[in-house]
Amino acid sequence: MTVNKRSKQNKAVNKSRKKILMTRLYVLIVLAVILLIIAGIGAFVTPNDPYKINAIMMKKAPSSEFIFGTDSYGRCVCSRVLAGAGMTIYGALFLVISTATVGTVLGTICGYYGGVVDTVIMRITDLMLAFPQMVLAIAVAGLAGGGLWNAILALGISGWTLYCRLVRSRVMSIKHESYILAARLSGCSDLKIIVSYILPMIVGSVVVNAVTQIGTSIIWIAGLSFLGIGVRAPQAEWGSMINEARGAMQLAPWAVIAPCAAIFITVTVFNCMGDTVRDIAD
Amino acid sequence: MIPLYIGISFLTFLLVYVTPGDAAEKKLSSQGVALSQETLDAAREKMGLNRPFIVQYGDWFFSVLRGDLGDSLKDGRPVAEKVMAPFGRTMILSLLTLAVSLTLAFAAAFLSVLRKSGFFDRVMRVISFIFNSLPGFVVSVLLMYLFCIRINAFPVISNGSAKGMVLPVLSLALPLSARFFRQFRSEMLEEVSKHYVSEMKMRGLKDFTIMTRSILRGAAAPIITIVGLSFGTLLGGSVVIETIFSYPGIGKLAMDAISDRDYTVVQGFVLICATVYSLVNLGTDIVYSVLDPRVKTDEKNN
Repeated sequence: MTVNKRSKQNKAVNKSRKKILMTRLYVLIVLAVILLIIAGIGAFVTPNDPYKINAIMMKKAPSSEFIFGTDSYGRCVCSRVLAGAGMTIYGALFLVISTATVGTVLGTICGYYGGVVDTVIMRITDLMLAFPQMVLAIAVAGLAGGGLWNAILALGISGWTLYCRLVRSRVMSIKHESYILAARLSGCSDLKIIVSYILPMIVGSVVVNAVTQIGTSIIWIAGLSFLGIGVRAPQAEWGSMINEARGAMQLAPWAVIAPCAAIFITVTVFNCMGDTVRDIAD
Repeated sequence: MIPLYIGISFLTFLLVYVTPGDAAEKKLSSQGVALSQETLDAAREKMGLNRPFIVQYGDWFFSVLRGDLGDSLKDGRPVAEKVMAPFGRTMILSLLTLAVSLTLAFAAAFLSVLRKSGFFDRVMRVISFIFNSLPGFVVSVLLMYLFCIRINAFPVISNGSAKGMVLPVLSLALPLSARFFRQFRSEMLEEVSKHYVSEMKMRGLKDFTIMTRSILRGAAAPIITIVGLSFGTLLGGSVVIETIFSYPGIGKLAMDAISDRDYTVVQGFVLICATVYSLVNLGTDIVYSVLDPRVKTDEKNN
C-alpha cells in the first residue's frame, strides 16, 4: 500500500520535473536559434564596417557610434563581434554534425558487421584516444598552416571516435534483439535493417552527445584561432579578436571584454542546452 | 601497449611527412645557405629525405627508441635536448594545476553532496557552470586584466618564479576544477543513491561517517579515471596558457616551432605529449583495477 503510494508520488514528481526540463529546453532552443540567426546575418547588419581601419578612432571607449568601442586599429568592436559570430558558431556546428555523422556511420558498420573492419576501426579509435585531442589539433592545424577548414579538420580527426564507440556498443546490444532477427528472417536486407530498425533506436543518444559537444567545439575553434592557427587574422573571429586586443588591454579593455562576453554567452546557452537534453534523456 | 606505441609513433611521423613544405629547404634557409637545386638535392640526400617512406619511418622510430628525436631544423640542436627543460617546466605547471583543482573540486563536491540541494550546493553548481563555459584563454585574459592591470599584483610574463606561477596555474585550474566538481559530484551522488547507504543511515551512522568511510571509497575508482583523462586536456590547455603568459614550457616551445615551421620540434612535442598521456592512462587503469577488482574479473569473464 505505502509502496504503491510512494511510487505514484515518484511518478508525479518525475512528471513535473520532466515538464520543467522541457520548458527549459524550449527556452534554450529559442535562445540558441536567436544566436544562430545573429550569427547567420551578423556579418550583413553590422553598425559599421568591421574591417575599416580608422587611424583617428583608435582605442576609443564605447560611444553611441561604436557601442563596444574600437580596437587598436580603430575598427568597430561591436561590428567585429557580429561579423565573427558566424565563423565560430557555424564552424562548431559543422564540426559537431560532421564528426557525429562519420562516427555514427563507422560505428554502425563496426557494431553490425564486426570482424576485420571492426577490429581495424577500433584500433584506429584507440590510437586517436592515445593523443590528447587539443595537442593533436594544435599540431595538425599548425602544420597545415591555419584557416577555418584546417582547424575543423584538425579537431575532427579525433572527434569522431566518441560517436563511433558509442554507436558501436549500442548497435552491438540491439542487433541481437528478437525483432531484428524477425526482420532478417522475413528477408530484409542489411541496409534496410540498419536504416529502419537500428538507426532510429540510437539516433537519440547520438543527438544527446552531439548537443553536449557544441559548447566545447566553440571553445576549441575559438582557442585555435586565439593561438593564430584557426581562422586567419584579418577575418573577424572571437578567439583571434581576443588575441589581437590583449596587447592593448590596458588602454582598450572593451576590445577584449566584448568577444570574451560573446564566447561566454554562446557557450553558456549551448552548454545549458546540452545539460538539459541529457537530463531529459536520463 | 607496444602496438599502440608503434601506432602513436607512426601517426606522429605521418603528421609531419604529409605536411606541405620541405624540411631540407627549411633547414637550408635557416642556416643562410643560398637555395639552389644542387644544395637542395645535397641536403635532401644528407637528411635521407630521398629514401622510401617506410625506411625513413623505421630509421626515425629506432632513433626515437634510443632517445634521439632528430635535430631542430631551426638551430640544429638535438630536439630531445631542446625539449627536456621546457617539458619539466610544463610538468611542474600541470602537476600544480592538478593539485589545486583536485583540492578545490574535491572539497567542494564533498560539501555539496553532504547537503544536496542546500545553499552551498546551489552556489557551487552555478559557479562551476560559469567556469565550465569559459575557455582557459578567456579566464587567463580576464585574470590578467584584473590582477596585472587593475591591481598590479602579479607579473604579466611568467618566467617560472613562484609569483609568476599563480596566474597560469589559476587560469588552468579554474575551468578544470569546475569540470572536476561536476563529475565528482555526480559520481558521489550515484554512490549515495545505492542501497547500502540507506541501510547505513537506518543503522544510525552519521552522514559524515558514511561519506568518509564508504562513499569516498566507492567513488574513488571512477574519480581516478576522470583525473587521468583530464591530463590530456591539461596538456592541450597548457599550450594556450603558456603562450599567453610566455611561460617557457613545452607548449610555448611548440607554438614557436609551429610559427618557425620547425617540424622536428613539433613532432617531438606531439610524441612526448602522447607518450605521457598514454602512460598516465595506463597508470590510472592499474590503480583502477586495484581499487575496483571487479574490472579485472569482468575482463577475464569476457
